[in-house]
Amino acid sequence: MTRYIGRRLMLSLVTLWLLVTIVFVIANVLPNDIGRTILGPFAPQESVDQLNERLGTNRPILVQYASSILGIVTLDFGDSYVTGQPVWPQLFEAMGRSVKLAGLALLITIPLAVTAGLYAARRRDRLSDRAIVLVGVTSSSIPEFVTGTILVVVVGVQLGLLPVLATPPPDADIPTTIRYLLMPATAMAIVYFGYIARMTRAGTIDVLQSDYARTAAMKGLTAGQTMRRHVLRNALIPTVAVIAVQVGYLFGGIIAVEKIFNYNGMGQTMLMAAQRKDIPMLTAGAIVIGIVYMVATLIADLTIAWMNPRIRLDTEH
Amino acid sequence: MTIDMTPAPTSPTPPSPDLSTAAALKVEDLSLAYVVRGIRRPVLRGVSFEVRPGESYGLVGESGCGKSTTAYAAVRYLPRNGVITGGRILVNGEDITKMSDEQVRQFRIHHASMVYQDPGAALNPTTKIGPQVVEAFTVLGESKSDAQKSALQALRRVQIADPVGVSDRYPYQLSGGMQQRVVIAIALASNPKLLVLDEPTTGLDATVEASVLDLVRGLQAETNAAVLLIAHNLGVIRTMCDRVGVMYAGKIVEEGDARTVFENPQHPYTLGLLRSLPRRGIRKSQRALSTIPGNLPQIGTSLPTCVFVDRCPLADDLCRPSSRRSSSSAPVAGRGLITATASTR
Amino acid sequence: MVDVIVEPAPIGPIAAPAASERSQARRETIRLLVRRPAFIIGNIVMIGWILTAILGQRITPYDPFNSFSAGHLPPSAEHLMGTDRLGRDVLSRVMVGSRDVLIVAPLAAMLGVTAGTLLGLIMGFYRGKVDDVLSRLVEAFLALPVILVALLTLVVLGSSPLVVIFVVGILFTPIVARTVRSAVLSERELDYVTAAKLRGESGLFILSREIFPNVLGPTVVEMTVRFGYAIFTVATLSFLGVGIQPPSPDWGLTVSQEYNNMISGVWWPTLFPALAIASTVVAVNLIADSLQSVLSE
Repeated sequence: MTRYIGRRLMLSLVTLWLLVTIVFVIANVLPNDIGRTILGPFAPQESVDQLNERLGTNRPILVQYASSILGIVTLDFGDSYVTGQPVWPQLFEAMGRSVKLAGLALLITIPLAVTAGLYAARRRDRLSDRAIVLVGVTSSSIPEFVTGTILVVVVGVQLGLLPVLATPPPDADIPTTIRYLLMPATAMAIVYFGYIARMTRAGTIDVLQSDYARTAAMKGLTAGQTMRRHVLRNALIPTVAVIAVQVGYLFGGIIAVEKIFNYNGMGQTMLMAAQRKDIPMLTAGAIVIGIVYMVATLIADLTIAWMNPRIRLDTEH
Repeated sequence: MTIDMTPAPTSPTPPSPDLSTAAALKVEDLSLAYVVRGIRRPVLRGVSFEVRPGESYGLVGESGCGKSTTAYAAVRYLPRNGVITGGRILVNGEDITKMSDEQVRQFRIHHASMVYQDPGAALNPTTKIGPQVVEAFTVLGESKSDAQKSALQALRRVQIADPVGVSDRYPYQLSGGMQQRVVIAIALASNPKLLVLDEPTTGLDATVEASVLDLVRGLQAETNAAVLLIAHNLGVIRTMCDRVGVMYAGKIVEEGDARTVFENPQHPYTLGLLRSLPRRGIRKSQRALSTIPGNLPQIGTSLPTCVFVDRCPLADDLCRPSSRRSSSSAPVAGRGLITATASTR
Repeated sequence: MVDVIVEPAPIGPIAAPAASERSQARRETIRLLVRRPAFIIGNIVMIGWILTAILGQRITPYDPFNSFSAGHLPPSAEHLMGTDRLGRDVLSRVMVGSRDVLIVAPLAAMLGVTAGTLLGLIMGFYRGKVDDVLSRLVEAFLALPVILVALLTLVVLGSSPLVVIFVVGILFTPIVARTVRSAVLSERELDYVTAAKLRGESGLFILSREIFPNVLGPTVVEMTVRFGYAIFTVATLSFLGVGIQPPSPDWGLTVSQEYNNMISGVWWPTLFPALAIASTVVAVNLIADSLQSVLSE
C-alpha cells in the first residue's frame, strides 16, 4: 500500500503543478495588457503603464511564473488588485463559510442519494427504480440558481418558513445556523443527489450481476444477508469516487447559490472579484478549489485502494 | 425479495411430490426462453434427462448450445430475462419450477449446490476465504463456533493442506486450483443430493484439472450425490461421467451410457464432434483436421424439429418439414442416424 | 469406433449477411427509442424551444424589447407571466430568451466534443508517452473548477459570445477525451483491431475506419450530455454576469437582473425564466438518458 500511496502522491504533485501553470497562463499570458484589462478601454495610457509597473506585469513571463509558484508554496497568492491587501487571509475566511454550506449540502445529499441508489438497484426496472432514475436525471439537470430561486419563492417568500438571506447572525448556535443555511444547502443537494444516486445504482447493479453475488444466492443467503455481507462493500466503491468528483463541481455551483442567498462565502468573493477584475483573487480561488478537488480525489483513490485487498497488502511485485 | 435473480414467473400451486421416481434430478421436456426486447427467444427446446443418486451425468456441446442454461435451471437460477416456457424440473420428486422464492432458497441450502467455471470470480474479492466457507455452514443453522470448525474440516476434505492459513487469505492470493477446491468445499457443506458443476476445470491447467476431477470423483463416491457435469471438453466427460447427453441448439440430440456414446455414436453431430478431436500422433500432412462446417444457430432462431439439419452431412429431403406435412407428423430428429444409413466402410 | 467417411456438406445460409443485420439493428434501435416516454417528452420540449427561438418575435404576444405596461405587474389575462421591472411582457421575453442559449451552448458542446473525441482517440489508441503526458494534462484540467475558471477567463478576455463558446468548449474537452479514451481502450483489445494490424493497415486507417465507428455509441450519448451541461453552464455564467450580456432577453441574464425583487414578492420575472432553463436542460438530459439506455442494451 505504501508503494501505491507514494506513486499516487507523486502524480498529484505533477497534476498540481500543471493546474497552477494553466491558471497562470490564463491569468497572465492570455491578456496582453493586464493594466488595460483592469482599467478598461477608456483609461489614459499613463495610468495603465503606471499600474502595470506597480503590478510587476512588465517583468519577463518566466520571472512572473517563478514568483507565482514560489508564492503559492508559501501561501502567498499575491495582493488583491482592489484592496492592495494579501489575498489569502480574506479568501481563507470566506472559504470557511463556504465549507459550512457545502458540508451541510453533502450531509443532506449523500445519505439520501446512496440509499436511493441501493434501493433502485434492488428493484431494477420496476416502477420505483424508473421513478428514482427519472428524479435523478431531472434533479441533476437543474442549475443550482434555478432550484435556489424556486426555493426562495416557494419556501422563503410565499410560505415564509426559512430566512431568505442565508447569512446567520454572528455567534449563532448550530441549530440556528442550520436553519439559515438549509435552503441554499438544499438547492445544492438537489443537483448532486441525481448523479450520486445514479452512480450508486450502477455500481450496485454491477455487483449484483457478479459471480460472487451468484455464489451468495446459491449458498441460500437471504437478500438482506447478501446485500450486507457481499454487495455493499463492493458496490460502494464507485460511489466514493463519484462523491470526490462532485466536490469539484460543488464549489462551482456554490457561487450561484451564494449570489442568490447573499451569503458571503467564497462564491460571493469570487463574484465580486470578477466584477472588479481582481485577477489575483480569482486565480487564488481557482487554485485553491483545484487543490481541494485534488485532495478529495486523492482521499477517494486511497480509500478505494485500501478496500481492494490486492493493493492494500501489496505482497506481489 | 430476491436480488436480481427474479425467478421465472410461475404459478403459485404447491409442488406435488412425485414419489414414483428414484431420480435425484429429472428434467422433463424443459423449454426455456430469453426475453430480449419483448420477444421470447427459445434457448432450450424440450430437454429431458435424469440423473440418479450416485450417478454422474455429463452434458456436452459447443458453446452456446444451452448446457449452462440447463445446469442453472436445475438449481432454479435463471437470468433476469429468462422464462420457463414448458416442462418441469423434479429434484427428489419436487417440481422446483413451481416453488416460491423462500422454497427455492431452502432448496439451495439443503438439497443442491453448484461449482462454477471461474472460481476466482465466484469468491468475494474483498472478504477472506475463512468467512466465506463459514457462511456455508451458518446458513445451515450451525453456530458461529461450530461453523468455524466445520469450515476447517471442509477445507481439509478438499485436500487443502493448510486450512488455517488458507482461511486467512484473500481469494486473489490462491491459485486457480485452490480457489476451485474452496468453491467445492462450500458446495459440499450441506451434503447436497444434487451437485451441479458448470465447466469446473475449463479455466485450470491440465495437471490441476486432473487433481480437481479426481477430488470430485472421490467426494461423489463418499456422498452418493447425483452429479450433473457440464463441459465442452469431451475428455473430461469421458473420464468423469457414467452417462452423457450431447446437446445441440437447446436439444439433447444423443444420450446414453458414456462409453457407448463415445465408442459408437449414433447422431451425426456426435460423430462430427468426436471426429474433430485431434488424434495423437497424426500429423497434419497425413490427415486434415475434421470440422463441422457452419456455426451454431443464434439463440432464439426458430428451428425445424431436427435442429442439426442445416449442418448435417447426411440430411436429405425427408429430414426437412415440407408443406404437405402437418406439424404433428414432423420429421424425426436425428433421422439420418449412422446405423440407418450405414452405406459406409 | 466406426470410421465413416463423411463429405462435408456445403455451408448453407446459416448466418445472415452482416450489412443488412447492422441496418436492421439500427432501425430497431430507433424504433425502441421512439417508444420511450422520456425521449418523446424531451424532444417535444426541445423542439418547442427551438421553434420559439427561430420564429421569435413573430409569435410573441408583445414586443420583448419594449415596454407596453407598468413595471412588475403580476400575471394576469393580458400578461400571462406578468411584466418585468421595465414593464416588458415576461412571456414574450421568455419565448425569445432561448435564442442565445440555443446558439452558444450547442456550439460550445460541439467544440468540446470534437476536440475531446480527437484527443481521446489519439490518447487511447497510441498509448505510450503521448498518452501519459496528455493524461496528466487532462487530469489537471479536470481538477479545475469549471465555473470559476470560466469566470477568470471571461474576465481576462471579455464576455463576447465567441469567448464563451471557446471557454466552455475547452473546459469540456477533457471530460469527453476521457470517455472516448476509455471506449477506445476497450475496443483496441478486440480481435478485429489485431486483425487489421496484421493486415498492415496504418494506424490512422484503423482509428478512423475500424475503431471510431464502434465508439460512436458512447460518443453520441456523451455529446448529448455535454449539450445539456453546456446549457447549464452558459445559463449559470449568464446569471453570474459574465456570459450573455444585456440587452439580450436571455434567461440566465434575466434571472440575475430580477432575482433581488423576489424578497418583495415579485416572483414572476425570476421564476419563469428559471423554469425555462430547467425545462431545457431536463429535456436534453431525458433524451441523453434514453439514448444511453437504448444503446447499452
